[in-house]
Amino acid sequence: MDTLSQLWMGFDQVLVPQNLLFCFLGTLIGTLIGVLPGVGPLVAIAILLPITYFLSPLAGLIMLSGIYYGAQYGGSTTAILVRLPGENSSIVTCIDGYEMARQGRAGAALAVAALASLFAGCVATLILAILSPLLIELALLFGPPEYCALMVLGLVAAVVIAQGPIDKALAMIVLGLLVGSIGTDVNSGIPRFTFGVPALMDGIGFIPLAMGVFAMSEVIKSLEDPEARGAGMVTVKRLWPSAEDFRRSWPAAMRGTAIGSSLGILPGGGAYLGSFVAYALEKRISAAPERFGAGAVEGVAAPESANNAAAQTSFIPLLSLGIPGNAVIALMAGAMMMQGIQPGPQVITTRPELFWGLVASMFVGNVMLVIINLPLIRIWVMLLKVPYRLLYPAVIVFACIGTYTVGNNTFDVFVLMVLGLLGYLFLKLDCEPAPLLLAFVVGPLLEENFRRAMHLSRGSLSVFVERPISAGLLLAALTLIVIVALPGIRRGRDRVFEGSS
Amino acid sequence: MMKALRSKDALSGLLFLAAGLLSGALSLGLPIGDRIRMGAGYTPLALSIVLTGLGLIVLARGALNGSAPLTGWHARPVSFVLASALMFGLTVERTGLFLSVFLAALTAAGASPAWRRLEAVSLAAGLAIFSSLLFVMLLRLPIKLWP
Repeated sequence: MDTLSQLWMGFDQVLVPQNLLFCFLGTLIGTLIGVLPGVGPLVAIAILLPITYFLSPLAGLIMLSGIYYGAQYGGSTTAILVRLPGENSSIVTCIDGYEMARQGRAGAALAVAALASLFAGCVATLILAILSPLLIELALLFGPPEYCALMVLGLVAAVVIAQGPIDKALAMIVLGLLVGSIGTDVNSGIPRFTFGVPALMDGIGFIPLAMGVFAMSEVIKSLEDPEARGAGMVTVKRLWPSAEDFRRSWPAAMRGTAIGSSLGILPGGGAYLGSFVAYALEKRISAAPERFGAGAVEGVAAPESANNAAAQTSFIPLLSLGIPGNAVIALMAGAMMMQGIQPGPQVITTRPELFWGLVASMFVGNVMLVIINLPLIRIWVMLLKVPYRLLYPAVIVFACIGTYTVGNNTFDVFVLMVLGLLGYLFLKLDCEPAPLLLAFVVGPLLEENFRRAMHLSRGSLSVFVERPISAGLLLAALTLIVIVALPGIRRGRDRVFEGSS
Repeated sequence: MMKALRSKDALSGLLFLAAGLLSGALSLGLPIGDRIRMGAGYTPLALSIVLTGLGLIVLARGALNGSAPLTGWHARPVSFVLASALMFGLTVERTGLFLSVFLAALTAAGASPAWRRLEAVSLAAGLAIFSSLLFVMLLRLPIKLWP
């Protein structure tokens, strides 16, 4: 009952013109970048992050989160119509979605994707609303050792889902932690790695890092490859799925929602992983697995519900424990910190309007997305014909303006340039940069908590295994590493990623 | 030997190794302290040692197994994209946002060979107008618009 009245208060916050507008803008931009290949939610959120600095905290968060889950919707449209995944979380949707479209069932596939996403989005938001307040009770039991252990688990999970060899992903994490330590040490006031440059005393900015490593490097990479072309365009006739489609897709959407919601909560989880696992499960439990790849509607419903559910529930660790589980959520954490809000358990109690407003906006946003997507489908498809060269100068310019406006400082723009080069180098060397960004955000928190834990335990490392919660979390992290290092599972993991490259 | 070092993994290993050694050397110049009272250099030094170790592992694995070699360097996109950011950084406080965006977008156009001249100029002008309207007029960000 309490949850309901709180949620009602949240709707009260959202249903005002300004917040509705930013919810609409967020979902619209999310759909747009979901449709456009080569511009992902990470880049879009990084570019818009500085603007949110000038909005109210709630409006900013509503817009950024709308971009994240909106991109999951938009990504499915191009996956189905032109076999071009707009987002990496829609890669598996291409398989059966495009096949359905070729059989003249494009409309049905699009509608199933949208309805499954709507269902998953609402269920996952409900989970977010119920689970986060419960988790903050857990947070009360958390001391510095537990926070350290949880962050280690999150970073290890990021390594596990990163593509490519484990040792490189680990090195990227450590590099991210080191980059995060640039600037004045909070404890002693001594500058670290600043080379005497005054502008570096506050450390490398989060925004130049995110934009340099993701936006700028992506632009360079995309310009090197010939412009991505989808398979032949399919025309959309009937939008409404048949009764048979409904019968098959409902259970699949439920399973996909369950998988996506649970994987989203885990540190390191997110939309990407959820869709892969959901698709694999549907294929395995199906009575006729040979239908998959030949236009099985379950192959659309399950991954699309899973990626949307995971996008929503991945907010849970941030909003309840203050720890971002993946790179997109790390950007949200950055947005909150820019507004002077330290993400963590205290947000729900001290700023309830922020938490419940965000939750309510997710319900509103999911409904808006169905309206934005289905009737306007032809407009989105037209966008696919826009050549990349008309887009990339805007990405560069907005990245520069965004970086500059945060501190009205041209030094940050030069940092952006250098980090863009570094990000490009990472892409060329097949070093995935997402774990680096996550480690950069988590780094200062991790160091502070490690310091406190060591101070309290008089320098004894055994404190991490003596306390049950921290021991459990570290055991989970260790298990993850062992599992991934085992050859059999490594092969399976590589196979899953093969389809994505 | 040189060929083995040209693989992506070996080069990544070298990059991590260099970063680890550099940050390690810099950390040694900071107060280290002990685990109970950590100095500013304690965690950076520990991380540098781990990074150096990981760099060696990646380098060894890359040199022995010989992963895919690093290929496909294109000087044009990378130099013009970075030059575009440089142009923006150099001009924004002198010429104001409008001209700065125009010049940066024009520089960016150099990154792709597909542009026609008139098309590039009109896109740059359009971007300059759009960003002036959005950022200065609408969002009222504190940026100078004109020289």
